[in-house]
Amino acid sequence: MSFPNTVAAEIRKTATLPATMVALAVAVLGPVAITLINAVGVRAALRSGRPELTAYTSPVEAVFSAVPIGTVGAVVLGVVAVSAEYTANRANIGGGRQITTTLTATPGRLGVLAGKAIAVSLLVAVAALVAIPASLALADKIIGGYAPPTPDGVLSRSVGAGIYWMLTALTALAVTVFTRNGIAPIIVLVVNSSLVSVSVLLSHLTPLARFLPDLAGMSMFAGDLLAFDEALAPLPGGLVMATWTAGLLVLAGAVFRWRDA
Amino acid sequence: MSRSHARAAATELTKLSGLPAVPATAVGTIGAAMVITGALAAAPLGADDPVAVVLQAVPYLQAGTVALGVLVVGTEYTDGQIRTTLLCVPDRLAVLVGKGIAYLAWATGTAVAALVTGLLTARVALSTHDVPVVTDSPVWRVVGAAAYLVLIGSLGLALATLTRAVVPALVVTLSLILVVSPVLGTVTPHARYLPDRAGALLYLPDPAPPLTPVSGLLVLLGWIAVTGGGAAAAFRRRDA
Repeated sequence: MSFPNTVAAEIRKTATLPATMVALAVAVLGPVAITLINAVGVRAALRSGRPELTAYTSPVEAVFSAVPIGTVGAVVLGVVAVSAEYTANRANIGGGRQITTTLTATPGRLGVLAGKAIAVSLLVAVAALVAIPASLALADKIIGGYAPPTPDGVLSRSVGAGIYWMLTALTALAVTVFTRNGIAPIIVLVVNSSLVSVSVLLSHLTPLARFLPDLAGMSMFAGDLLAFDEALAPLPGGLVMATWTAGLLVLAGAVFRWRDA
Repeated sequence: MSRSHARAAATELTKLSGLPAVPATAVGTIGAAMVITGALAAAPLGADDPVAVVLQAVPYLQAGTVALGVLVVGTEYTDGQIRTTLLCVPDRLAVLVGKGIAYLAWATGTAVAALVTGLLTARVALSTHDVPVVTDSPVWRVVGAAAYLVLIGSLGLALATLTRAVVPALVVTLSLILVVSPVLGTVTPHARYLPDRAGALLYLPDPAPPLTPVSGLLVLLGWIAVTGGGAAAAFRRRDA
C-alpha cells in the first residue's frame, strides 16, 4: 500500500473506534466544561469584590487551568490507536486480532506506525483547534467586564497547549507499542497528567525533574500555574518534550519492527 | 449472606487470582507505595513523621484500588466471559455481590500491604536524615486511609458495571478523582462534596467545615450507594 493510503487507512481506523469518540469528547467538552465552572467561580469572586477567593482572576487562567482534562483525552486517543489493534475478538468469532490484518495489508511496519502517529496527531490537532478557542471565547464571555487586562502571550500559550496535547498523545502511542495493552499506559499517564503527578513529586527531590517530558512540556502553556520554581522557558521546554517524544517513537519503531506482532 | 452468595464470592475470588492483571495491579500498587513514600520522605521540605508521609502518598495509591475495582468487572466483558459467568450463576445480584466481596478482599489486602510498606519505607528513609523522627500523628488516620482506598476503588467497580468495559471506566474514574476534582477544588467550595474530597477527610489532618470525618464518610458512601445502585439496576435489567 502506498504511504498516503496507509495514512488514510489509519485515520479511518482510528477515527471510527468508539473509544476515539469518547476521547475526542473528553478533549473538547472537558476543557470547555471546566472552563465554564472556573469562569463562573471567578466571576462570582470578582463580583463580590473578593478576588482572593480564587487562585486567579483572569479568564485566560480559567482556560489554561482546564488544559489537564484535555490531556486525558489525548492520552486515551494515543493509547487506543495502538491497543485496539491488539484487543482479541471474542472467542466465538475466532478470537483474532486486528494487528494481523493490518500487517497483512501493510507489511511495511514503520509505515504503519508513521501512519498511526500522523492519524493521532491530526485528530488531536482538530480537538485542540475546537476546544481551546471555544474555551477562551467562553471564559471571555462569562467574566467579560470584570476581567483584569488580558496578559500577553495568549496565542503562544494556546498553541503550546495544543502541541502539549499532541506530544502527549504520541508519547502514549509509543508506550502502548511497548506494552501492547492499553490498561497500564492509561493508568500511568492519566495519573501523571493530574496535579498529583509523579513528576511534580520528583521535582521536589531534584531540579533535574524539569527535564521530564511532562514538566518540560507544561511550561509551553502553564505560565504561573506551574507550581515549580526552576521550570524551563516555554521554547526549550517544548523542545525537550519533543525530543523525548521523538526518542520514544524511534524506540517504538524499532520494537514494532523487530518483535513478532 | 446466603449460601449462593458465598459460593459466588468464592468463584469470583478464584477468577481474580487467575487474572494476571489483578496480582500485577496489587504488586504494582505496593511497589508504587514504596517508591512514592521514599521520594516523599527524601524531599527536603517533606514531613518528618512516617504516618504523615504515607498519608501524602494516598492520592497516588488510589489509582491502584480503582484499577482493581475496574478489573473485577471490566475483564468479564473483554472476551465474553460474562456469558459463562451468567450461565453458571443466573442470579445476577448474586454475581454482583460475589464480585463486591472478591473486590473487598483484594482491595483491603492491597491497601493494607501498600500502607504498611509505605510506613516502613518512610521510617527507613527518614532515619537516614539527621532530623529526629516524630510519631505524633494518630494511627487511626492510616486505618482511615485504608478504608478510603477500598471505598474509592468501589466507585471504579460500579462504573465498570455501568460501562461494561475496562478503558472507559478507568478513564472516567481516574479523571474524576485526579484531574477534575483538584481543578474544581481551586474554584468552588462545593467541590468538597465530591467523592474523593469528602472521603479524604478520613485520613487528612485538617477538617474542612462543615464536613467532619464521619459526615465525609457518609458523603462518600452516598456516592457509592448511588452509582452502585444504578450499576446493580442496570446489571439486572440489561442484556449482558
